[in-house]
Amino acid sequence: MSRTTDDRDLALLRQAIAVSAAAAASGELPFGAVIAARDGTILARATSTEISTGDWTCHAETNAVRDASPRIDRRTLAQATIYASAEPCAMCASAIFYSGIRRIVYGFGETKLRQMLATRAETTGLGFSCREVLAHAAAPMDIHGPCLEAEAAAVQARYWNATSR
Amino acid sequence: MQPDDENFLRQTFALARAARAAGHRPFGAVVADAAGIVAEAGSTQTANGDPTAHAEMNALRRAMAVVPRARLEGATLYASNEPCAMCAAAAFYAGVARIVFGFPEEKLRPLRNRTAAGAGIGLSCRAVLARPARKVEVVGPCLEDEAALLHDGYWSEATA
Ligand SMILES: [Zn+2]
Ligand SMILES: [Zn+2]
Repeated sequence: MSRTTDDRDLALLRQAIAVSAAAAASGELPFGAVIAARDGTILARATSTEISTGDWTCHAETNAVRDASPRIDRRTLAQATIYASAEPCAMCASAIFYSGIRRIVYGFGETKLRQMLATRAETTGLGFSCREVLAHAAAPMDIHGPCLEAEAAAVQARYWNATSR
Repeated sequence: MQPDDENFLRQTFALARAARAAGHRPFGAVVADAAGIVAEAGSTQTANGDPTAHAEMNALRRAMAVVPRARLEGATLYASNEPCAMCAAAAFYAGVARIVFGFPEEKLRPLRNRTAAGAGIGLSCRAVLARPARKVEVVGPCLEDEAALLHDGYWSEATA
């Protein structure tokens, strides 16, 4: 099941990080996700839309799952990978599992994200790594990350350190 | 449980029965406070649809669409069944103060088919909510015998 990350994985993760930067530029939280098929074809792309919708479940990864699942057959999703600019939270990790996607590649790690947000009570997370959540899943998951962490971190730092927020 | 809890929980049972009658999974959820019901929903999850459309997720998303967050911070999520890890996390993000549930997950799991997607994530709602400083109170199982009837014959007949 496990498949080590290759150059195509890193290129797709870079796309997810670019989506996270675009999200921040458009006034959303700085998170992006891309779902790609086994051959690298992009199946879905999503940003966080929490700010514009007021729906605090609209994380990038969950949005990508909601977008892809009705359109893409389960066999394709079972071979797909989701690329997330930051490590999926407990909600998104669960949503990814429910979608049938079994492979995750993420950029910025949850521990560092939590440290970056430590002073902001409203953004406190649940404190779970996606590996810990998915260790409880009924099927094995193939999880890779942090990857390209410096690139992913730069987008996070630019957003969260901006004094106006 | 508080005085209105039984009434709201029984409403989730009615929603679960309606969901089952409509061809969906037998789960229902209500978001409510002292002023009454804010939002309610059944499961609309299907094999080829949105896999996140659990009853609790649906009810929370409707609630966020219709009332400000400040009101949800005084509200309770009622669920006919113990919320899964995803829905517990969604309740935290939505900001509700409490969760009251009917049937416990540990008793549902043996009733369900054993495919990977059907068996889900074995992380309890309480475990998901244990770490943040902002606490979500979890009450349940409640009215378990009534909640159990919602599943009577369902999982052995379900093909999805
Ligand atoms: Zn998330
Ligand atoms: Zn759920």
